This record gives sequence, structure tokens and C-alpha cells, in this order.
Amino acid sequence: MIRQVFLIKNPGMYTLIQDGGRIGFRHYGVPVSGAVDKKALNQANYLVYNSKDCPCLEILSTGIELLALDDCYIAFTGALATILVDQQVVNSFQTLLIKSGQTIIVKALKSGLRTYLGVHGGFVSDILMGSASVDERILIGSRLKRDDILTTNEPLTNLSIRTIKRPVYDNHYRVIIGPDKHKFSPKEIKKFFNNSYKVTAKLSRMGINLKGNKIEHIDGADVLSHPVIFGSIQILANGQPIILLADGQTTGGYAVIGNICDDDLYKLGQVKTGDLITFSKIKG
Amino acid sequence: MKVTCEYAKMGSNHVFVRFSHVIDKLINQQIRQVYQTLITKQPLGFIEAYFAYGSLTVQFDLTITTYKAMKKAISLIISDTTITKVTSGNEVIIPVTYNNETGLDLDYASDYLKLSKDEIIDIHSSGQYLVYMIGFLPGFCYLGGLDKRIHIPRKKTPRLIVPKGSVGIAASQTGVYPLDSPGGWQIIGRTNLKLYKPYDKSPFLILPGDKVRFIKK
Repeated sequence: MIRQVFLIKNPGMYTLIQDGGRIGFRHYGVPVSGAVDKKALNQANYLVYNSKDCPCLEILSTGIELLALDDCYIAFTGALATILVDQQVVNSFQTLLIKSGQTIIVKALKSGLRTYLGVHGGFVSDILMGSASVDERILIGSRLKRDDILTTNEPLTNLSIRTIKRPVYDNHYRVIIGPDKHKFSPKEIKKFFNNSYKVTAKLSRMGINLKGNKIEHIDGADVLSHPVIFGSIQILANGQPIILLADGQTTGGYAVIGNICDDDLYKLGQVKTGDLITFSKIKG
Repeated sequence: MKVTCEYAKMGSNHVFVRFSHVIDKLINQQIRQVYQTLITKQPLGFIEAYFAYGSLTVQFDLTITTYKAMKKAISLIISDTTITKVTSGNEVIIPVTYNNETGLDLDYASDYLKLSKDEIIDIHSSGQYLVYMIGFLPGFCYLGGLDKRIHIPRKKTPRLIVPKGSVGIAASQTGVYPLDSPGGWQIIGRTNLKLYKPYDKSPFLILPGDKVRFIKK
């Protein structure tokens, strides 16, 4: 049973449907996509009694305004946001019962960049190559627009309220060195781990360009194009790092100094321009 | 043919295998074969695999298996895969409009290569190319086997938007941009053939191992 749950009064800066990602298509050059902050996605789904990778809204920054068309259970996770329901501040990281006719606004962010909104039953969306995740760059789906209507296919049932703790979002990342270790001297690798890097304005779901102490390559930045993953850290020809994210390309020709360990990837979803990032080496 | 592979842990849950640092037809064929075996055999904890010219990556489920176990499963498949000759898949014909309007860099290439535009077009459209890999963009095929006479370095500053369908050359490679995208290859023509149709049942026209020919429209 399809239920209309929200009317988009204002889509905000950039709001996308995202789920656990597109598995099994990187062979065709299709990025994994999916929520950048997967922990927030999983938490939102937990709070509304969904399976962990159900489609949620990934809300960049603020401004989104939704009108509830029916009663529903929802939850906000991710960024530390001021969220108003009919002008009243409500808690994130907790199940909320929304009544038909209420207005929800993501007003301000105290910390982080992306807020996740989950609804009981998940948002109904086109599934393409196994995922509801939107990636406009590769012509899969589109961002939310004014007057869009969001639906779910779960009837309203009584749910008890759940709460969950907000995870730690420090900007420290554990890195497993390789596979292009041969392109860097031990001195340069040490330099990479001993310095902090500033997040530039070049920041998207594809990658985060950093600026800091230049890392020198041995014999140029290029390697024979090889697979890269969400969390790969390439050192560009100018000596600056870029961290590839969920919509990053599947193969790349810049030397990869290392890859961020899986447990730390979620934090990348909350990184903002101007943040300072540090790395440490782990064996993995 | 036996190759010595180098293994690396890529993040927490990918095994990276490097077969070669250079483009080699036989090694690439071996990688494609190893990929086929991997997706057929699906070793315990296998999630997905993808590859490039000389390397392959396998994602595994950390809750079911370990890096060590997956590495072992892959290495067994690799040692069982011996290639003696290159075999290929389908042949795909790509009709191309080569002119100054579509071939944004034809003039530059003509200067650089000291060949007339017609010579470049004739050389490009008379070759048969092997699809080594797909990467960078959905359906972006890296085609090898470009005639040495038209090897040209990629642009120093990439274009912000290379139009969809553009046919490019760079070093020993040629390829087609399936989408509007930033890109640094030298553009010599354009095709209307759609290499990537995300809403179709089969979204990809060309697969690794296929042969491609370009014909003048």
C-alpha cells in the first residue's frame, strides 16, 4: 500500500535519496554511490524499524521544508541540526511521530554537513542497478524538487520510540598504506601522517580535495589506471591529496598513498570546507 | 604464461591484485578470465570484483571472511588461469562523424602529429581495438591498439566539459565519452551511438574483451 507522506515545500540546498549503494556495477564504471555517512543512514533506519540500508533522504546543509501528508514515524541522524516541527525544536537521534499537516524544517547546523531523514518503510524510489541512490552526474535519478511527493509503502503501525547516541565525528582517519606505496619515499609517507590537511571548497559526493604540506612523488604522479574505492587517498600531480567518496570514479591514474579504513568512512560525510583532517597509519 | 602478482590490502575490505605496471594484452586477458572465474565461483564472502589494464580488486564481506582467506581464494584462481592467446568477445561498430565541429582537437592533432586531418581519420577508422577495461565513467571503454602514428599526449589542462559521444585519443589509447564529462583526451570526432543507457535493461553496449571498430559516417 503506497502512502503519500511528504510534500516538498522547499528542497533545500541539495537533497538526494540514498541507500546502502549500488553493488556489483563498478565493473561497468558505475560508482557505488549510497549515503556518504553510512552510519547515519543505518542509525536513521534503526530508529524507524527499517532494514539498515533502506532509502533515506540525504540532506546537504539546511533549508529543506516538508509538509506531512499523513501520519508517519521518522528520524533524523547525521549532522547536529536544529530541526523544527511546527516551529518546535525536536530531537535528532530519536524516533518521532509526525502528524498529517505538520511542517518540518531543517533550520541550522551546529556541526556536520549532511542530515539523514528516515521514514518507517523507507522512501519509495526507482531502483536502478540494484539501488535507489541518486547520482545526477551519471544520469541516475535527480535531486528533490519543490512540489515532489514522497511516498512509503508501509501502513502506519504503532512503534515504540527508540533513541540512539550520536557517533563520534572527529576528523581523524586511520589509513592502510598502499597500493602505490612505491611512488612515495618513507620520508614523504611520514610527512603525510605527521601533518594536518585543510578541507578546500572542492568538496562533493565524488571527493574531498585537501590542502597542506605537499607530498612529493617518486617519478611523477601517474600510475597505470587501477581500481580505486570509497576512501582512496590519491596524491595529485600538485602534491595535494584528494579523498574519493561514494560517487567517486571506479578507476584512477593518480598514485594512491593509502585507503581509509572502513570503520572511519562514515565521518567523511560530515566533513566541511575549512575542517582540519589528520591521518594515522594502521596495519588494517 | 605465469605472472607474479603483488597483493595489497585496499582499505578494510578490498583485496588489490597488481599483475603488471604496463599495458599488456595477454596479462589483461588473464585478468578478464580471473574476473569471470571469480564471479562464477563466488568465493566465500565475495561481494564484487572490477579491474583495470593490469590490476584487479575484489570487495569482500568482513563479517564472513578475512583478507587472508580472500587473498588465498584469488591466488588459487590466478594460478589455475593460464593464457596462451588472446580471445575476444563481440565486435562493435561505432559510426563516427569526424570533422572540425565534432573533432575539437583535430587541428591541434594534425599540427602535433604532422599528419593531415584525413590521414588521422583514416588511420583511426582503419584499426580494430580491444576493450581492455571500463572505468572513469559508466561505460567508458579503454581501447588499446591505437596506431603509433597517431599517439598524442593528453591535454595539459583537461576540458571542463567534453560533449557526450566524443571520440578521443590519448597516448596508445582511444575511447568514447559516454556522458558529458570533464576530460583530457584529444577529441577527433563524435558518435551518436549511445554507449550507456542507464534506464535500459542492458545499460552497457560494450564490455571488456570486445573488439571495436570506428567507421566514418
